[in-house]
Amino acid sequence: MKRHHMAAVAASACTALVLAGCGQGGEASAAGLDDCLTDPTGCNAGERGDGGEITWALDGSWGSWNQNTSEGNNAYVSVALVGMWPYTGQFDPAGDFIVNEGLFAAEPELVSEDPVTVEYTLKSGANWGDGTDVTVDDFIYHWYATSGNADLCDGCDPANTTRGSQVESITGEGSTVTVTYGEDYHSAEWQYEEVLSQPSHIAEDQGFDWQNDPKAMAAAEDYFAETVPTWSTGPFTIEQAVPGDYVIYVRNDDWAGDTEVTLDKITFRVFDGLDNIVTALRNGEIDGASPFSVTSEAITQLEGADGTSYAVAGGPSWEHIDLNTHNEFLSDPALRRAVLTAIDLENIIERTYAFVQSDIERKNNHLFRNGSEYYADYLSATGQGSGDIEMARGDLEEAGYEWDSDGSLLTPGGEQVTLNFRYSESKENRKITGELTQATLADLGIDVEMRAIPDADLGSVLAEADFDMISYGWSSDPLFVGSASQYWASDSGSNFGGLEDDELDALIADINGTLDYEEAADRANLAVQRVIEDAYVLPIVDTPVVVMVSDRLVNVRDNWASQQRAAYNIAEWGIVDE
Amino acid sequence: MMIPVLLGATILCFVLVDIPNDPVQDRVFEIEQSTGEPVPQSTIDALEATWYYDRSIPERYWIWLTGVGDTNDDIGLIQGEWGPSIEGTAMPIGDEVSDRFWITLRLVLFATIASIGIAILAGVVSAVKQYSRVDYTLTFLGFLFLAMPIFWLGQLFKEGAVQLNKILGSTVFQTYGSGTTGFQGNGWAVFVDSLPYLIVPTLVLMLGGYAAISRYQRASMLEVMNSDYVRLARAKGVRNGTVMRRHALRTALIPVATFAPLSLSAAMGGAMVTERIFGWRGLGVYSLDAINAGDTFAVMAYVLISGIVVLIGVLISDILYGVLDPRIRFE
Repeated sequence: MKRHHMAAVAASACTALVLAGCGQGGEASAAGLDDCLTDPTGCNAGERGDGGEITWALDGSWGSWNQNTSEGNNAYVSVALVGMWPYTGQFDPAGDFIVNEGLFAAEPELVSEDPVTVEYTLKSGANWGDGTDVTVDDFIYHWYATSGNADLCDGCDPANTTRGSQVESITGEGSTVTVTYGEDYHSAEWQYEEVLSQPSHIAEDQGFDWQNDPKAMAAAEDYFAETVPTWSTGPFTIEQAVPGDYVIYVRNDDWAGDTEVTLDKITFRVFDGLDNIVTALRNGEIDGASPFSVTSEAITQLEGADGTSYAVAGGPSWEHIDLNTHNEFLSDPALRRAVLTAIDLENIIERTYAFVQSDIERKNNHLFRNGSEYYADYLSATGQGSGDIEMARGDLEEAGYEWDSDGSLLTPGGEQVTLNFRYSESKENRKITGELTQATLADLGIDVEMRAIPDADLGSVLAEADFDMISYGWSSDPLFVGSASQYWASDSGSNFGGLEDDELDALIADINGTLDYEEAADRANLAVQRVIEDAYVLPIVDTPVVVMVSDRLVNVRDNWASQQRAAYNIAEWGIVDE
Repeated sequence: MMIPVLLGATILCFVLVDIPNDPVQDRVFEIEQSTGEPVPQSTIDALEATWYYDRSIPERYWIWLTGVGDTNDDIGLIQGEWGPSIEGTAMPIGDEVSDRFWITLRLVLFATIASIGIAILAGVVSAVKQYSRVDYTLTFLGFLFLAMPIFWLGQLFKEGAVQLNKILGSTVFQTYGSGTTGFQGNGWAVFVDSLPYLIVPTLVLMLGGYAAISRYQRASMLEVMNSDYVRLARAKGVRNGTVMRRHALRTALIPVATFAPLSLSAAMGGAMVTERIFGWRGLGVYSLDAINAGDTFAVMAYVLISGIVVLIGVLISDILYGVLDPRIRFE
């Protein structure tokens, strides 16, 4: 037991020493991004001068240009293509949905609830940047590509068919496109569905008879995966690009959006690792970045950098600890509850994530972010994550558990409880989370073995449920309807800990059974309450991320609610008018 | 012997990379994290078929080598196909490897030539001035750079470049990449463009590599200087400079000259740390990423290319022995 304490103390001491040596981290920075916490959509705003060229760093690469496919579904290509991709819209940092001003004249409209029918009004002049208008055929192309139906696309491998497989028909008249869904479709998030991806006329120009030949449709998808997109529905168009390396944009003069674009050129360039990005920013080689990670060392470097500002805040993913319900010990809900109660989240947060974000808060809802209008804290009252060892011991005693003379926890059957804790080897915070969990569970008489996972193997470890306890992250955005089903439904491939709860399954099915967004959110919260009762997943925090920007840029700020992060409003980016 | 050695290396690497990795599961997890929705089984099946993960390991190796069997016409080494990369269809392995080969060669060639040049100079001066302050200084510097881990030396020089830029108020030294993003031009223009990017990593590779060779050169030079024929030349009254240049140095260069091709080929395969630190998209980084991602066919391409380069280096080295030392003849 002593050894575990020593390990935790040593880990904490080492971290503290390192940080003391590197200076203070954690506070949001100077000038432009200072007020992002209070004014998330208006911070770093300013008048833009005409023209200018900037370079923006990305911290990961991609090997396909087609975001429809399993190969191309990648957060980095999504950022790299933000200047030209036909998104339906974007959530802004306040969580409000802004429809794509270059494509649509109005927000999507629900014209029928049974069957669900949604009407899209195309903006006059919405085009693909080559003189060809966006038409109903482009909507149909996207449907076919994401249908998962071999009769429509034979050989396609869409990353997601949740919406595409539910479309019944798509028709168009003038600038209006009407999408009719099948009887099983009742998503409260109908207005946020992506409806466009590739230009159908280019597929035809390349000789793919995609409307009539499912194999040609698949071949067209392959073509778009391999070919640098020269078309654009966004404020910029790609001048030059190398997959996984860089994308150079110039202004798209045919863009139908109303926002005035001022930058002449934007280069998105891939960098390997946060340290290289920070060094390049300090050296004036780039103008900014919003990488998906942050370290105290990087913050120390940024604090000493002239002419730049940075901010750290919760990003588009959340950290959590999961328990494997198929484990011989953790199959008992009483033990799961005791384990989650014994974990001291405030202590974990203080010794990990708080080093980079001093105002970080514990996450108390699995589906809704702290501050969301649908957020409710059902966790605190249960004691889960409180570190209350006495409460945990009491629960275990009540369930028939005992302790032997060495203080080891014994099941009602007399077996000693031992568990493992798994974490990605390069994620220091997850490792410390495990070590602190190991230390607190030692107080409960549970021996925990720490087992690192090579970074590339996390997916395999989860899929094979090769863990007792595990710390990892899920992406989060304002959308929640599909999340509960993905995380916890008994038949979900992503329910890695194998929870099987009929009542929870019924609650999850209810979330998908209403078109009313508020009602769906209420139902989602019922599912959250149920999963807390099951003592299955313990949320920790929204993972901190950093945005760093040269002082010469205005209108650049981070956005947790968009996969494109700071690039969500790329049309508004500019060089400060001096 | 070269072909059996290469085949043996490919089998070993294939098994080592393939067994512990399951890129299909990892990709499925990444998609689920990204979309927040489950991945359809048809898509998982398609991924397995695309990457040949619907076959056993021996089958995959056989298909990679021969391309014989039910394939997507993208695999079979003897048919000139490298196989699919899990990075995606926009990054075919053949194109990546050939592009990156030249990038690594550009970095390594300059560094190796410079390090050999400095090593010869330092080795000769150390030997001629044996046990002098110059010898001790050069020996100290040699061991210092030899002892420094290359990743540490790289970071040190990188930070130095940033500070120097700050003092100069410019960006003379670029810290990341091998040239201006998207720069296009003829060979000379590309070279000139790459100079600000080339200086610091070349220095790092050069200093990291010169120390060992300079110790070889010093030892070799000392051995020759103490040999009978050099003493005879001196006894005959030949001037010291001529003795050194014509008699001693020429012979003493043989070990280093034969070592050079090996050094170059080893650097081709071993520049991955320098490439990683300075963001050069070369072969080393490609192999490292491929290993981390479990991209078996990409790793195989690297093994094959670096294997061939090393074997060619050994071949040139053996031939040089015969050319430089008349006593050695090949039969």
